[in-house]
Amino acid sequence: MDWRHDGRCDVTLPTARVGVGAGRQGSRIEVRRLDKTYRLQTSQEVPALTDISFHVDAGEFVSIVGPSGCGKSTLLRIIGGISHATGGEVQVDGSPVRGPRRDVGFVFQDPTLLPWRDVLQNAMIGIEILGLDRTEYRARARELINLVGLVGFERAHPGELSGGMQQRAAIVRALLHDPKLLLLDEPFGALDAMTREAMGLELLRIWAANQTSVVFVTHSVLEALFLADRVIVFSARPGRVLDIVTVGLPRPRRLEMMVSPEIGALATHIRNLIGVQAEAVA
Amino acid sequence: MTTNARPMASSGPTPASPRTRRAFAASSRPLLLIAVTIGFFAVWEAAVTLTGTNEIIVPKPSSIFRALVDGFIEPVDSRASFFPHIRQTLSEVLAGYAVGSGTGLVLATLSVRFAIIEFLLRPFVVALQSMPKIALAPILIVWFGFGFNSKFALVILATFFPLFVNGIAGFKSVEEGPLRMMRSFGATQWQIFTKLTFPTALPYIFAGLEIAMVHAITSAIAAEFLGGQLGLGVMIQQLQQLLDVPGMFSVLMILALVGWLLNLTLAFARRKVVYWAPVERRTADR
Repeated sequence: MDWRHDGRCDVTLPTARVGVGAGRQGSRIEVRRLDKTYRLQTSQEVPALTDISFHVDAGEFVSIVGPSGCGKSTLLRIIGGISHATGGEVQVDGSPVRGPRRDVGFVFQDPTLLPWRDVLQNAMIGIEILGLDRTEYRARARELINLVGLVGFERAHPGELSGGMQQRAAIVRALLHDPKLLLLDEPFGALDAMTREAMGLELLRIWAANQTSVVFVTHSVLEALFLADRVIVFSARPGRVLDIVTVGLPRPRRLEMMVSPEIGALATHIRNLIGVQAEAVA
Repeated sequence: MTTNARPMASSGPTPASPRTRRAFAASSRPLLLIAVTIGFFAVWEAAVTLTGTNEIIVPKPSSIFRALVDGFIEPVDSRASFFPHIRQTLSEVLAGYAVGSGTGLVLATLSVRFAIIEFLLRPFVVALQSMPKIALAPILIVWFGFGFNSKFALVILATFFPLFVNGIAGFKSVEEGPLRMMRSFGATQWQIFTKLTFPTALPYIFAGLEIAMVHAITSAIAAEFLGGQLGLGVMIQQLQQLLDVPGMFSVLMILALVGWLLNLTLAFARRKVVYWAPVERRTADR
């Protein structure tokens, strides 16, 4: 795999998934009339999300975009079962979410790697927690480390890696237990613009190779449009769905599509909805 | 998927900076240290000799050295030999250290796990902590006698607090991000403790262990000053009564050596166990 300056990918994408759990489909998610209200210590109620409804098809890549503090991270945590809604429900493949699920992989803005573990051991932590076969998944971990371009860094500790490399290791960790759903919470938010674009392309490649469903939270309109099949547009706090935009661009996506007229028109539409006039172009 | 190991613009590891100059300085450091040490003792020896100072006030390094040699070549069962005293003090320090810091760590763990335990322990801990532990030595001698036990008890009290306080601080230093990551996999409380909380606290625990070691030696010697049959503190007291000042200095040297070796062992263990801790932590104490 080789990325040229124009961001084009020279090698055909690996579409067949490899190793453990091959042939699994992505999850279908149904979010129905979801509400979330935080209660402050002063017993004052702060609504974070109001009446959120949308769905994600099996194998679909959906972005959620909205201004800071609109509750998009909260929504992602509710879908992932590590936070609870105050109203409505989330169903994954027809069953309501009641807690952390084994078939979900999470990537956070911060890589949250454990500094005493090397890349391979960090990748394996989910396998240890879930009590899966370590030998089997260690081989799979090496494949994924290969896939994200961290070959030769299996034994490196997080302190020896750049921010982009750490986030790749976090992606391996999220993918290793073969989740059917990948939840990404502004995963490239802390990276510089160049690395960010490259990581976006890599994510698409990884997604193509693993056939999971993806929910990708970002505050960058262009990033959301470039990556996703559909973009869900959130309002400022309290978050509600303003629009769901379908991105008609062909796949595989290429970096020059970022400046295509289609994306430009959709971006203007979204910015007008949110009311942000001048977003810094990442 | 064969050639994608090539790192991107900003994602390569930072290359090691050239260290030739520093490496040279580091290699000549031991020589410098030895030269300065020899110079220090030479000036000391000359000053005492030339000014004709009474050795009861300031002994010559050569007299201290003779006292050291004498103490080591005495038969091991003799009172004048260093060995039984070193053994006594070392066992007070190590046994008290193990029990005291172990208890501190266990109670810290329980305090973090069960808020009620911390709530109940807190007033006692604050009261005992504000008190100089050495002030308890006379009472401990009334309770446990002049032998091993009173010193053992004081060392336990002195080493408990650093581990209790640092343990709690360490366990509470776990950040929201890694905790959320662990929860996203559905980790149990026990898995979170063993895989996240305890390793996160280890640098704090080692800092506590190092403070506790200093307290352990200090309190063992202080308790020995109050009386006893054996121990380096007892030995200093006895030599003082004989006005054997070179002898007292020789015991001080042994104490410095013992303390240094114990701290060296700890620092070595910390470097092996907490290898990921920030570099400034490791260099600050060089």
